[in-house]
Amino acid sequence: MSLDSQLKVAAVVMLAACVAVPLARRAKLSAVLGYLVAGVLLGPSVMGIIMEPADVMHFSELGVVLFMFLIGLELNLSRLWQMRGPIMGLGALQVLISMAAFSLILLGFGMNTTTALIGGFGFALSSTAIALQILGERNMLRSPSGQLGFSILLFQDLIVIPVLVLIPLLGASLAGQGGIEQGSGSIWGGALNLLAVVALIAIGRRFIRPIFRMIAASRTREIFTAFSLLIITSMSVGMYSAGLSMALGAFLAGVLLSDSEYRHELEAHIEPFKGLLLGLFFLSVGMSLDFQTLGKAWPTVLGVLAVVLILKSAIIYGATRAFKLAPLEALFIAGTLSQCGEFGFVLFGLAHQSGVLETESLSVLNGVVALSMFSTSLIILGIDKFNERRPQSLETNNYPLPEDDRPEVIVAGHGRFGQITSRLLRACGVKTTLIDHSSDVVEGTKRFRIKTYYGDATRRDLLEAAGIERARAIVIAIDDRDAATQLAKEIKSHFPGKFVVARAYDLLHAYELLDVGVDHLERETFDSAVAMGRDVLKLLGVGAYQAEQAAQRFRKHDVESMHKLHKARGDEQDYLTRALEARDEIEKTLAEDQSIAQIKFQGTAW
Amino acid sequence: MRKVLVLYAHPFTGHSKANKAMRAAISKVEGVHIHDLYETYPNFVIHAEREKSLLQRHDTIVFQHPIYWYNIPSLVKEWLDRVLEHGWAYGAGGHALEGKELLCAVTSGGSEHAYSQVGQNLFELSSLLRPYELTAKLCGMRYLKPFIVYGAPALSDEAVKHYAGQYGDLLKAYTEDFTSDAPNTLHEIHRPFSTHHDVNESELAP
Repeated sequence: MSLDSQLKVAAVVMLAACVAVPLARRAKLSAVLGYLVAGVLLGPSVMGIIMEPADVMHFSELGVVLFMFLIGLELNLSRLWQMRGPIMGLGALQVLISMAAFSLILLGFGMNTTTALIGGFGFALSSTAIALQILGERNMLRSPSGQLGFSILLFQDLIVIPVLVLIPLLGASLAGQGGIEQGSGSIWGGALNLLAVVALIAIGRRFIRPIFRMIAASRTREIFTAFSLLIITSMSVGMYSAGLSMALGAFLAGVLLSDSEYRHELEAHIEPFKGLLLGLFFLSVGMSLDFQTLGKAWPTVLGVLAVVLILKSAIIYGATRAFKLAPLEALFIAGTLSQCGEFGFVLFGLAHQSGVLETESLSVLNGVVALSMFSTSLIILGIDKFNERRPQSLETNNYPLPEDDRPEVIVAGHGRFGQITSRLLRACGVKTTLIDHSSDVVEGTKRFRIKTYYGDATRRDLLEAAGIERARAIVIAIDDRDAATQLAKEIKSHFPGKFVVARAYDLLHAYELLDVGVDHLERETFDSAVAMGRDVLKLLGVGAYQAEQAAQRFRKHDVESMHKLHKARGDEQDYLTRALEARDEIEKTLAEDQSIAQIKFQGTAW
Repeated sequence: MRKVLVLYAHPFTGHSKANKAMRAAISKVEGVHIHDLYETYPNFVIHAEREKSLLQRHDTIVFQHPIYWYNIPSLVKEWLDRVLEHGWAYGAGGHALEGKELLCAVTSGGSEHAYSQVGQNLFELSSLLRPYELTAKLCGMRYLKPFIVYGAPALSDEAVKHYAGQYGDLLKAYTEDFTSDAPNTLHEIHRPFSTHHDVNESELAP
């Protein structure tokens, strides 16, 4: 391809990506799907703008290589070791059973053994990107169910490696002549190369750090990036010439660097390349989706898809239940991981190039993977609807119910605001029960041996479990404004005699809380903002005592105004007048205040 | 070298004349540490532990402030209430301040004449400082003769300078180790507690 046509392709591709991906995100779908759709539209099957998807695919394989590098980089060996139980147990269970099941299904649909095995394995894998995105959105990453899901994904990442090694070798032994991507040389040459690479790794570990340090000290960003790419490409080439896959080389390069102090810098530098190139890869997958073949084979595709989705979810559900996860949680994880992942494309593409997979089968398998990715959003939607209809059980996310510790004060909402308030209370010996709806908070405070109960504090049954009957006060520090107002209202009506103290987001929210009758409220930014004003006064040379007086007077007046304005709220006219009056009053007060103004005693003081 | 702690308590130093000058006069004297109470505790929440440790590290404690309403500024009172703890400053086991000196360095609006039995304020200023005297007694401190600047608002610049200079010399003398022949400015008084002089009606000015 000449340069101008290459650029033309590049421009078209970028345009497609810029249009398709934001649209996909808008529809709450993964970006991967956006790229796929863009590729389908651009490719020979639909608009035919790009007729040679293979060219694009070659170039975009770099994206896969970088992707594997980042996977290796993120590998946290100690974390892996910690989670070895679920990873090895649950992960292996899921993959093996799934693979077995899917291979059998594919055989049943008339594919040959090799295809069935490869397809079965590819389908067993889930999409790390999609699954983690869903878990992250719902704040479930650190909860027990999230951790189990994560273990499965980690095992899948690990198990891909040996398979990536095996496939080219399989291709070499099968084909004999080898495709374009085949490594050169005999088995012996390959083994020698491999040895050389291993030696390089060992030596490399020693020298990588000092070299990085030198480069970092030179403060040229592009050289840092260049060096990182050098490591990746040299390892990939090394692996390739040993007859293994480039992706594996990149993965090992990532592992090599995963415990270096430059890890985050590396991620930051490589990520943009990886993002675009990987997107390009998915684009090319979309382009190479042969709709003619698919059209002919649609019963197979849809049939396989349905069976895979159902079976996969069932297997994950069963496996997680075996690992003691609650039914609802297991159902959610099963849905989240039900799709077939990007690795499927990578694997099938590699198998195709190595000559192990025929083109027709490739289209079918890719089609199943692509469609399964679309399906996840729908599946999750379905699960959410299902959950809404069910009567809610108190046991959410496997966290225990609050116990009645006979607290004097219940703190609903233990985030940035609630934590400080509760600290002061506990410092003065007040018995508190802390509730928050984020598992991050629960886990985070656990590290400091502070017990936060998990749950939705707006629920009456939860409050009762926490001992609200005997408590004297409830602090409402949750960040959802409407929920806070609602909770205040409910407590005032169902649990009279308790002090309700609420955090107000702003003045308007304060009025709402006053309407429902809270005993006291604090506007969340007010005191800190006043304190800051006072700090600035001091820095400007106003004496500390004067600054403090001014700040406190200002504060008091503002709180009084707030109450006055609140009473006037019904009447628009009156409200405006009041607001203006309030402002004049403050100015007058400050001007008159003796602490700030000149003291008059015969013109001087002593 | 002895250490002198000056507990400076003026809510609006910017507007002060005499106190400001006095403070300036001692600011460069080695061994004198100026502790600005209104600047440190503008919200009146005294950090007792910090104050106690300051006191322990000094030998002469000076209270420098204006007289407001025949009395001390309110923050000084808060300081006394919070810092001089039972079992530390006085009472069983309370020997932390024993042997140290307490000096009042105050400025007043009224003249020396006003603060006399024949003046409009009826009492000498030193009698209005009795609470300090008694505090010193209870804590085992030596109560020094107060340094008083009368009629501060009406003073000329030279007069202010003169008094400030005297104050500076006084504190400087206290930073030096005592010898047997101490200068005259160290006029130590430890009067036994006496009843106040009854006001003679006929001596009052009309």
